[in-house]
Amino acid sequence: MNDELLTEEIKRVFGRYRATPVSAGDLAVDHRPARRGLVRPAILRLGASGVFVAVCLATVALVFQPFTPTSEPASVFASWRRVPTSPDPAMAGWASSHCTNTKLPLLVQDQRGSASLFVFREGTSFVTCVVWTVDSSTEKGWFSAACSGTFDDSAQPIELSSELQAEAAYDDSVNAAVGQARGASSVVIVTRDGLEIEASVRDGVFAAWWPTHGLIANSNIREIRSYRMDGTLIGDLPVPQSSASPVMLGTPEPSPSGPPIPVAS
Amino acid sequence: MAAAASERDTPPVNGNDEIALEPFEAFYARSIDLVFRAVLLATRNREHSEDAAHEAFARALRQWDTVGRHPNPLAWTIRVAINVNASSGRIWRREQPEPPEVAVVDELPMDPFLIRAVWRLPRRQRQVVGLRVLADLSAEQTAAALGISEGAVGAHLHRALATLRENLASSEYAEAQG
Repeated sequence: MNDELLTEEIKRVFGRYRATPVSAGDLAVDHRPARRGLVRPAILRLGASGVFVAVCLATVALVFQPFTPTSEPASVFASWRRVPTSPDPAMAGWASSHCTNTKLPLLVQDQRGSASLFVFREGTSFVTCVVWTVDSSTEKGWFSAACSGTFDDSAQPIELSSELQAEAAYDDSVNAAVGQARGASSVVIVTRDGLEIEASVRDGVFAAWWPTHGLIANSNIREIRSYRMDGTLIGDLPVPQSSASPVMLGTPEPSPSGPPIPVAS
Repeated sequence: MAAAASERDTPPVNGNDEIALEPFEAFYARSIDLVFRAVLLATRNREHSEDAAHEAFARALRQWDTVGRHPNPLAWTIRVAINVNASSGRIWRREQPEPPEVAVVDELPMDPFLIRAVWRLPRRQRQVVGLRVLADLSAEQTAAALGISEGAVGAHLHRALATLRENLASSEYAEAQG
């Protein structure tokens, strides 16, 4: 199929999508549908050991000022590591004030290279936020995507509370997992393609992020294991591929009035 | 980003007041679906796309004497809609992993595969397809609306079409066709 035919086909198939018409009078008075501002929860269902339900809401913080672009953004994941790296305090400070306007205290920072996953928690309420650095010819600064939810109070040794993904740059996506691992000093997340990621753990909450090429339709986690300090296994949570799908966070867009570009350390 | 900032309040005019001003209602009727589809593909969220499209048309209506004489009111409106959506994204926004289902009577076997393949393109490629293909904007207008170079528009479109061809060839559709 040549380009001309393909573009005609794209036009034809998308011709089925039509906006709900609004009269000029309604546009002039108040065009806004009543739903604007409503928060729509996305439900993440997980089978495995007990049923867990998380309510997750997505936010996006915009922080960059692009300039005349000339090429594709470089991958932001070159510095990713399977084991967490030293936390970036500047990024943590920025996340605390920009991610979601949350006042919850920071509990976990899962830093891997130039990107970090944060978990803010108070009681059973939590907010997760991914912050990543973009430094390319088209975009420069820190991006973030956040999600709020509630931890379950069941007694399962491991619970996956949130699995998220956000389209970060070109074909790269940020994937993240947050959950509870009671009594654990370390947690390992095994992805569908066999990658074993050591999560950051604090006070029974674990968090980790990892990159993928493109977006993942189904859960990207195959298994989660938690360990005591002495290395003995506490729990092993298999995650059926069909039982969960990551919550997709919105993609940050250029904005002419975003906050100033932070200086990444 | 000058491109994004310049559209907000004062659309440029072509300086020729003698050109007959198209009635806003006529512009709205022929353009609303084009704007909606372009933003839908850029944002992957039907409700936000409708909101953004209507907001953009409301702004166009308020300045119709000026916007109506813009060299391309459609390009102006799409650009505003995309920026409106970006602003609303600061508060709450969620993309939809699958394209919205719409019942159609004359669907071809390829249609669901093609829609899904376009829907899953990377963000920039989707935006370019939305503006260049669905809304028929020029490369220059698309570049201005997205704040990227014309060369980048061409590159993204080329890559998008190549990806779509590849995906369709390897999809169940191709297998069904033998």
